[in-house]
Amino acid sequence: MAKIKVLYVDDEENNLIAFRANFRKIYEVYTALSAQDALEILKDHIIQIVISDQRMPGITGVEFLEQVVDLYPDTIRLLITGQADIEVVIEAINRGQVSKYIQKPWDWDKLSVAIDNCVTLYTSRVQLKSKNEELQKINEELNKFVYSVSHDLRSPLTSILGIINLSHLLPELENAKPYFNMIESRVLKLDGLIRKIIDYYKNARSDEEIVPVAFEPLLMSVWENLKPHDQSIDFKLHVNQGTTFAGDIYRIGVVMENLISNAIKYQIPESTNRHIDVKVDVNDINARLVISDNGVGIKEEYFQSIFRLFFRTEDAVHTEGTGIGLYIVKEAVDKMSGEIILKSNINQGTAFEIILPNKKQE
Amino acid sequence: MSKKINVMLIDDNKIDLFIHNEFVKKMNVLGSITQFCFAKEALAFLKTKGSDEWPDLILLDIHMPIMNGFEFLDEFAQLPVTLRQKCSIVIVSSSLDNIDHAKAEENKLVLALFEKPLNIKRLTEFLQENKII
Repeated sequence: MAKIKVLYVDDEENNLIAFRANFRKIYEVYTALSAQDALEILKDHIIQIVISDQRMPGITGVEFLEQVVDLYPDTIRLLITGQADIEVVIEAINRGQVSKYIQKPWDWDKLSVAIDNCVTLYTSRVQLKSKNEELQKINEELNKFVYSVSHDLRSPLTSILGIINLSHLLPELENAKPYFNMIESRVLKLDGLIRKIIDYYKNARSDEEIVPVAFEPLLMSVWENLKPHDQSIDFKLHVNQGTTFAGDIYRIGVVMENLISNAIKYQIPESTNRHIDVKVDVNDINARLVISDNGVGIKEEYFQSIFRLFFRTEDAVHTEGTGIGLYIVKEAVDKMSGEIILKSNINQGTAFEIILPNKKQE
Repeated sequence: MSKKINVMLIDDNKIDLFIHNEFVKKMNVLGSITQFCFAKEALAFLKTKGSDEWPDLILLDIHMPIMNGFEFLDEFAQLPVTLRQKCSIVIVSSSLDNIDHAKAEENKLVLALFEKPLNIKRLTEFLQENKII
């Protein structure tokens, strides 16, 4: 690494000469007799550490360093000061104008240690900055990578689904329909998996985005997208929202999509009275969402494990669950600082209760 | 439905072009149909043709090499408004990227975004509601 550049400002020339003699081997030393000269030097050279005496004619060290911080915020600024100025110094440190100070009387050892500390501070800041930039770059690249891979994976699948849709319009292919349907169900499964992975990725990496949420239209559109074509399930939505709810509409959508699609998937096959009830109560403090069904239910021994990644019950194997849905639900609810309560009885049904804080005050 | 419209399809994937072509034929509204694998060529076509040959509807893919859907829209915006105003653009994409969806929503030239696979029933209903067919 190149030598650290240190600028020392003092109105006593002897101090400057002695300083140069002491430190020129370790640092690239610049000296100035006045604040004005110092600012000229700063203009022409990239200085890392600026050392200033507090008592100088015309301008104090703190005033000088205040100008330096405005113009060169990356510098580390060391002030040399006597006992009398200590309050000014404390204030300057708190305001960030001075990074470190040493008290008079000082000797070369003391100053040497102080400059050493400044160097450490400077290098760690530089490292932190470059690490941050690196991380940001990696983040952006990862985003690009994930979306382009997901697009490239899905694109052939959507073509296959498109061809299957087209085949349904052709009467001469009627006999082949069962086969097309099988292809379709496998492709939809793969597409669903890719979508879930993207949901997982988005949830894990993005911060909450708080916007006003109107539950009625949101949940209706979730249902419209998921509902089975044969209308075999009676869906009831009851929203009691008298006040604005602010929350992460994307995550709420993901949570409800997963829970409602599970409620559709895990119905009792032979039942003729299938229903799903969604109740929402909103007040100024939170929103309480209950999604209940009269489906197959979940064994109590699985209550904890169903939220684990890639965990699937016997029922989930039959219905081609991916083992990701409830994991995403749990992660998303956690991210919104919410709560999730599960009640279920075998062959009677399941109810998920989600409590989400109303963030409209924040 | 007696209205005949000209349709332009832009998609780098030939199979998707075929699917969309078949779908549009099924809608039974077709005047003419033009297909392009490259948005640049579609743009060149639009630049040379007069109003009677211009499409009434463009189904536009987003992710394409050389010129993507959004770059096409930027260039499209430079074309004479008299020609542009009779032409509706619907994006058809398999992108799950929120940024793509937001960009499509913000763009005034874009009437709607449909996800692939294209649902012919929904598209037909949408075009009827918007009096395009």
